[in-house]
Amino acid sequence: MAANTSEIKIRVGFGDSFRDLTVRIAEGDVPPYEPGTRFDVIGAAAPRLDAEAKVTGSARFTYDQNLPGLLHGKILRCPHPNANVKSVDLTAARAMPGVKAAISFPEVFRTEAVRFAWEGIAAVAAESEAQAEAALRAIAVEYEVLPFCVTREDAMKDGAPQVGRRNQQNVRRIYPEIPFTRDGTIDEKKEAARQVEMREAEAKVDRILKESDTVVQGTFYTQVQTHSPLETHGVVCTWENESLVCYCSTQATFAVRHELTHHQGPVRATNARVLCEYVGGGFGAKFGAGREGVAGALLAKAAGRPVKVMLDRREEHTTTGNRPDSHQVLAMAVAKTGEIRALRARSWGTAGTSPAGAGAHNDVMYELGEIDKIEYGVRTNANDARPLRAPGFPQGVFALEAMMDIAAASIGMDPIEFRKKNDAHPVRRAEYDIACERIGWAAKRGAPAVPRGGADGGRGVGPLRRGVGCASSLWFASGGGGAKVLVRVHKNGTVEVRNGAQDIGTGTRTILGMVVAEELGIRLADVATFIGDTNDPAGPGSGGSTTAPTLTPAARVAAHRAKRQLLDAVARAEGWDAGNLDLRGGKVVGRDGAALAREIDFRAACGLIAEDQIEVLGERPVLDKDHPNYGGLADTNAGVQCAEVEVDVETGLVRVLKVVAVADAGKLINPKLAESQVRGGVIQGVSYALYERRIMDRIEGRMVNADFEFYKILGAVDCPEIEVVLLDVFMGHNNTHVMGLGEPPVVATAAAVANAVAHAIGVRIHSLPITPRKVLAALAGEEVRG
Amino acid sequence: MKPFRMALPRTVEEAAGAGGESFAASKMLAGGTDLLAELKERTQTPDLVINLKRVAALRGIAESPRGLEIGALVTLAEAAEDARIAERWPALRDTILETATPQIRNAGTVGGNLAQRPRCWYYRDESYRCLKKGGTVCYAQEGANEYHAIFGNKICAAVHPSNLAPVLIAHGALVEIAGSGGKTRTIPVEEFFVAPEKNVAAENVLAPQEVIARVILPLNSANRHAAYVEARERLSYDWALCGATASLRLEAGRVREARIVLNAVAPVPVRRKDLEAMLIGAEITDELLERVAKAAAAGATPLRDNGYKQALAGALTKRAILAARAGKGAG
Repeated sequence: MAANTSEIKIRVGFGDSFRDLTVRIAEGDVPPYEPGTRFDVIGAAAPRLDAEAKVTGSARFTYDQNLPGLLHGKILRCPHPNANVKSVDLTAARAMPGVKAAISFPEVFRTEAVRFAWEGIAAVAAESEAQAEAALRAIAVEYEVLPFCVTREDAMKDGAPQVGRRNQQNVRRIYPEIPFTRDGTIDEKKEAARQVEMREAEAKVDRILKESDTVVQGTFYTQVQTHSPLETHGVVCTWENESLVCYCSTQATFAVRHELTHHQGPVRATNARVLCEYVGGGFGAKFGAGREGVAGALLAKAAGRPVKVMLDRREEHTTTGNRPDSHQVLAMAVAKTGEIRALRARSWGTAGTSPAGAGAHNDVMYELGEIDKIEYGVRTNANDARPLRAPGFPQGVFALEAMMDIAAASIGMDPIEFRKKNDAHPVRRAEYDIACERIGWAAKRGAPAVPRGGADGGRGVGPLRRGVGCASSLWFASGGGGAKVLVRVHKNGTVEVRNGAQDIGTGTRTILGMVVAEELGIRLADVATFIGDTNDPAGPGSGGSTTAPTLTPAARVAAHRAKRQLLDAVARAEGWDAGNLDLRGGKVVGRDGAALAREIDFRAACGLIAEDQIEVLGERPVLDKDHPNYGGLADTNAGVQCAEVEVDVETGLVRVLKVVAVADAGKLINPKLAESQVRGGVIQGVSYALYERRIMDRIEGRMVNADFEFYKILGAVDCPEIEVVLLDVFMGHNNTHVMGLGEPPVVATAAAVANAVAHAIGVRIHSLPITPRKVLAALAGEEVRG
Repeated sequence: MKPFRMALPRTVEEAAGAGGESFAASKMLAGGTDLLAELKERTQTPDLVINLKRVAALRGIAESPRGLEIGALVTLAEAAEDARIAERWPALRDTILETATPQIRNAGTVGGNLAQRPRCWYYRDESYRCLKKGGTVCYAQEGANEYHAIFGNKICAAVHPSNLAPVLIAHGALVEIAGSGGKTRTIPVEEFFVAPEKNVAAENVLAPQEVIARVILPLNSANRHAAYVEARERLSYDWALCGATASLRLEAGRVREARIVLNAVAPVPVRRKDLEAMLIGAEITDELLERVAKAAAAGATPLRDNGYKQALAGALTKRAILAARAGKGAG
C-alpha cells in the first residue's frame, strides 16, 4: 500500500516551545492540527459517553448476554502441572441430566500435552451451571503424570524436569535472539556471528567497567503478575447455520473473528460476527478467542443452542496469561561527572511453558553508553505469559531505576540531576522539573531521616519513616495502518461513526466521536459512535497503546472528506465556492470562521445532500508498510513519576502517600480520559509494587492464591493521592498528533515507589512486591526474594 | 457446589436437632460469608445446610446479670454499632472494624466469626487433600507458608482467622453453646478453641448438633484498658499477618491484671500467660516493653517463609500494651 506522499511543513512542540518540521505525509491524509488552533471539542474534559451506562449497570458486557435457550458451558481442568493425556472419556458426562454437548480438548486442539496445572481437558454445556459442573466430575481422564518445575529457580537447576517436549530446553537465550532457519533449527552460521558480536560487546563493556571511576552493581527480582480484569475471559456463542455470532470479552474483536473463521482453526466458521460493546478490562490478556472461546463456539454448534462460557476467578488467574517474573543482574559504569558509560545486563525470566516474552526492558530511556545485554527465557510448568500493560517495562524499569539511584548516590549526585544528565528526551527533561516541584523533592529529599519524635519536618515519627523516589518512562505508540472508520452524515442531520474495534476502557468510543465532531463543527452529543462489532469497518486490537493513534487519524480523514462533500453540496445549492467554506459551531462558515451572508446550520446543510446520506470510509493514512507515521518531535513519548511513601519499620508496612505522575501522549483529545488512564496506571503500578504476585506451590505445582483474597490488589484505602500532570504535545507523528496512553503510566510507578522506600528506610529492597516480610528482612540485614 | 437440602429451623432446639444423627452431613449457616465459599470450593459437601436465619433467639444484644450477651446471629456491623460495646468494650469494636469489608461485616455474624474455618490456601483448595480434610499431609510445612503459624504448627500450620476471638479471650468472655434436647453449656471463649494436637479436623469444641447461642462479655471486663492492634499487608480487606490484644487493669500506675492474646500466628488464638506475668505488678516502662516484645516470640517454631511474624508479634504486643494504657479504662 505504498501511497504517494507529499512533503509539508508542520509545527511540533509543547508548552511555549514549538518548531517547524518538514515531514512526508501520505496522499489522502490531512495536515496535522496546528498548535494554537482554537478547538471546540478536542481538548475538552468531556465525560466518557458510556460513563452513565457503566456506573448504572445498564452497559451490557459479555457476562450479561443471556440469549433465549442459553446453555452453560464449563471446562474440566487438569490438576497436574506436567502430564500427557492418555484418554478422555465423555460417555458418562454426556448421559448426565441437562447435558447437551461435550468436547474433548486433546481432540479439538490436537495435543495431548498438558504443561501447566488447570489447563483445559474437556468442556460440557448443560441447562444449568450446576448440571455442567456435575457433568465435569463424570468425565474420566487418564493421565501420564510427569515430573515438573513451577519456579524459575527450580527450572534452572541441573537435572531439572523438562518442561517442554522433544528438544525444548528449559533455558533459552531470547536476547540477542537466536536465529532460526525456516525448519525451526538454529541457523548455526548466523548464530556464530551473533556469538562473536556478543563477545565483542562483553569485552567492550568489560573494558569500560575496568576503567570507570565508579561501577555499581545490583541484582533484582520481580514477581509474576496476573492481569486480573474484573470481567473474566469468556464468550456467549450462537450459530445461525454456518454463521457464528460470538459475544466475546476481548480487546481484539477482529483477531477473535479471524481465529474463529480460520480455515485451519478448530472452529472454522464460514462467517463470524464478533460483538464486544463493553469489556471489563483486558490489560493484554484478551487478544484471542482462547480455548474457552473455541469451546463456547464448538459447544454451541454441537448443542444447536447458545452457550455461555465465562471463566471463574481461578481459571482467570491460572490460564489466561501473566506478566513474567525476572531475575536481573546489572552493572553500570559511571563517570565522576555523572555520565553513564556502560550498562551490563543479564536477566532471566519465566513466561511459563514458552521462553518467549520473558524479557525485562532494563536498557531503556537513558543514554546508557555501551550496552552488553543478554536475556534468557526460562520454561516452567506454569501458565504462559501474555502481554500485560507495557510488557517487559515495569520489571526492567524497576531494576534500571534502582541502578540510577544507586549510581547517583555513588557519585554524590541528586538522583533527578543524575537522570537529567543522562536523558536527551525533550519532553521528559521538562517533566522532571514538574514532578520535582509537585512532590516537594528538594525539601523532602534533604530532610533528616532520623525521627525526632514529632512532626517537625523530619522524615518520620516514631516507627514511621518517609521517603521520596523518582522514576521515568517512555512509550512508542503512534499507531499503525489497516484501520478504517466509517462516517455517515445523514440527510436529517444525524452523524454516525462506526469502527468495529473495542474500547478496553481508554475511551475509544468517546474520542472517535470527539474527533469527528471537531471536524464537522458540531457537538459531541450530535455524533453517535458505534464500536465493538466486526460487521463494522476494521479496527486494531487494543495493544501497545495503539488504538487511539490508529483510529483518530482515520476518523479525522473520514470526517474531513465527509465535510468536504457536505460543503460541496452546500456550495452547489447556494452557488458558493466550496473552497471558501468550513463548518464550525453547528453552522456553515467561511474558511476563516467568519459568518456568511446567509446562515445555514448543520442540519439545513445536511438537507442539501443529494442522496440519503454522505458515507465515507476513511482509511488510516500510512506512509508505507514499515513507516506508518511521520517523523516528529521525538520517537517516543515520555513520563516522570515521583512517589512519597511512609514505612512502618516495626511492622514493615509500606504506604504510598502520594504519586505525582507527569504524563504525555501527544495531543490530548480528552484530558479527563487521559487523566483516568494515568490514574489507572499508577494504581496498577502501586499494586504491582506492594501487593500483587502469583504464589506457586512447589509440592503439587499449582497456584495457591488464585483468588482475590491472597492475590492481593490495591484497595481504596491503600490508594495514594494521585496528582496527574498532563502535557499536551504536538508530536507530529500523525494528523491528530495522538499517541497512546494505556501503557505508559504503569511503567515508572513501581520503580518510583521502590526508590522512595529505599530513601525512607535507608536500605534497598531488590525484589517486588515490597511486602512487610521483605521490609523487615531488609531492615534486619537479610534479603528475601520471593 | 454439591446439591444439598436446607433446613430452616425457628428455634435453637430445632436447629440443634435438625442434623439428626448424621452431623458430618450437615452444616450450620449464619451469615454465609465463610460457608458459601467452602460449599463452592467443595471443601465442605454437606447433604443438609441448617440455615439459622429464622432463629430469633440467636439475635440481639442484651444485658443480664451474666454480662453483655451478644446473640450468635448478631452481625459484626450490628456489634460494632452497639453503644454499650463502643462505650465499655471499645477494643471489641475496634477489632470488628479491622475485620474484612463493610459488606462482609454486614453479613458475617459473631458466632460465625468464632466458628469460621482457617484461610490456609491448602485447606481452601479442593485439590489439596490436607490433614484437615482427612489427608495425610500438612502441605504448609514444606510448601508456601508465608502466612502460616509460627506457634503450635507441628501438625497443622493454618492460623485461626478470627479477629473477635483474641479480644473476647482478653476480656474473659464466655460462649454459650446449645445442644440437642435443650441442653446448653457455657465455657470461656479461651476453651472454645482446640489445637490440632487434639483434633486436626476442627478448630473448636462444637460437638455434633451443637450451635453457638451467644457470647457473654462479663461485666467486670468492662472499661478495662484494652486494645487490639494488627498488621496486615494491605489496609483494605486483608487478613492479619499478626494481631495482638492487651487488656489491663491498672492501679496507681501499676498493672494489677493483664491478659495478652496473639492471633493469626497459631492454629488457635494464643493467650500469653508468660507475657502477662511479666506485666502484672509492674510499671509499664520502655525497658519492660522491650523485654516483653522480645519475649513475645518465645517458643516460636517458624517455617521457611514466616519467620518475620516473630518480629511482628513483638512489635504488636508492645503496641497493644501502649494503646491499652493510653485508652480510657476504669482503675
